[in-house]
Amino acid sequence: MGKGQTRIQNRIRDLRLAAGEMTQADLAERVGVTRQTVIAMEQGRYSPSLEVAFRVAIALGVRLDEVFTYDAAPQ
Amino acid sequence: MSFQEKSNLAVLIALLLVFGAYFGFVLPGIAGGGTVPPASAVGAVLIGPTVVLAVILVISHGIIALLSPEEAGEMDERDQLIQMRADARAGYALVLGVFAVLSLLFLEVAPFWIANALLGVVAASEIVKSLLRAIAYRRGI
Repeated sequence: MGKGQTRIQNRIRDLRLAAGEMTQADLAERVGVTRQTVIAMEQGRYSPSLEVAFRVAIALGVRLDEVFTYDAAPQ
Repeated sequence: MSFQEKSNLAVLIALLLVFGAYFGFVLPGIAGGGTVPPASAVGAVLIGPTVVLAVILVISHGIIALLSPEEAGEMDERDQLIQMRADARAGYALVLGVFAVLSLLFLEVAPFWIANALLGVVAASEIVKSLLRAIAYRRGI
């Protein structure tokens, strides 16, 4: 895990593409964040707040645990 | 690159240009005159870099907003978190610097130099803040 990386993994990119090729800008607008924040989340450079995480799941039409998973293995 | 990241880079470049020029050329020029300006001249000397910095920031932010008007002023939770963390860390540098400048009082240094040392500390802490933000935007938080 590189510096600045998070132990929270996500499938935002896969789910976004599965949801009718939704663009990063579309998702950003639905969630209420900037496109750069969506990019940072997809690249694992930012873990969103719980509220934004729920909004991402709702925007993608899936449950929260289908989008985000936590790597609990000791580092 | 988001509006806030561009804005931060503009601030960083402006700080380096203005205070680099002031502490690298203007201040040595004043000191080279051989006489230390009186305390009453401190305000007049220090207002110069502040005004230049403000003008550069207004112009640069106007240009950034014109280039991507749909993003102008946009700020989300990631921007806020990056700013809060950088503010907190740069705050330590500011406090340490202020205490270092306070020690100049015991050495009976002229008010002109104490004022400039304080300006240097504030400029350095702002540069540290912008650098930390720039790193956080690139490497993640």
